[in-house]
Amino acid sequence: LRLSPFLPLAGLLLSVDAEACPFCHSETAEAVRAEIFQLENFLWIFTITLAPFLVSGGILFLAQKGLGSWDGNGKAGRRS
Amino acid sequence: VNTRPLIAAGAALGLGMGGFLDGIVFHQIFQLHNMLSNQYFPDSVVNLEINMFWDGIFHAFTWIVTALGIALLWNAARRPDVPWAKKTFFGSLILGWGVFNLTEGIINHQLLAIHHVVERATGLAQVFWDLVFLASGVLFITIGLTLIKGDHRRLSALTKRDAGGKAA
Repeated sequence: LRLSPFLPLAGLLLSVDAEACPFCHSETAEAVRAEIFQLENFLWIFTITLAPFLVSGGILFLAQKGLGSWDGNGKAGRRS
Repeated sequence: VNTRPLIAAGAALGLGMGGFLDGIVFHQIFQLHNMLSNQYFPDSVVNLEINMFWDGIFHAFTWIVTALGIALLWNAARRPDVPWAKKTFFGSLILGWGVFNLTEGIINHQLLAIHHVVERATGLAQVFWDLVFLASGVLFITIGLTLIKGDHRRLSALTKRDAGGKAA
């Protein structure tokens, strides 16, 4: 049986008390979470972040609809 | 022959790659701005972490759009009526990138001012770089449309010639 050399490390990490985790319970982490996860703020920024993708996608979709396909006669709007 | 599926795939991939270029080059490598750097200026660990979180959400959306582009390209590749036209595809990539730059510039930089292209710049310099970003969008859209249109003419001529040959 070959054991991974990472097993002792995993064991060490698992034995750490969650309350003592410096990443989750530092003052900085708590300040960051408090700022990010205010519901109103979160939803607003989420929408703002998503907006350029939605608008761009919408523009491209509408442009596609208006493009028409090429039917070999150089006319738009027909499919061969 | 129908170039629309190829244009849709190219434009979605261009949109995604434009987003990745912005996120990787401007946000991370050169650190010119972050998602909310005009509201949470990245001069403290807390503000940096808030920006990093929203940069991550931005990258997640970018990833989804790119994945959609790959799916559309896969679909286009399987259709016999879709020509595998290089110029149309690259034109669509540039078109998608341009549309992303233009909309991102208008919404995030101009209307909502959640960040500017060069956050540490002040006054006119900040406005200048925001306008350069918008101009890049217009330029890419123009180049993309020109390439697509040019290829459309070439494909049109080829099909007419083929149709003429078959008729004869």
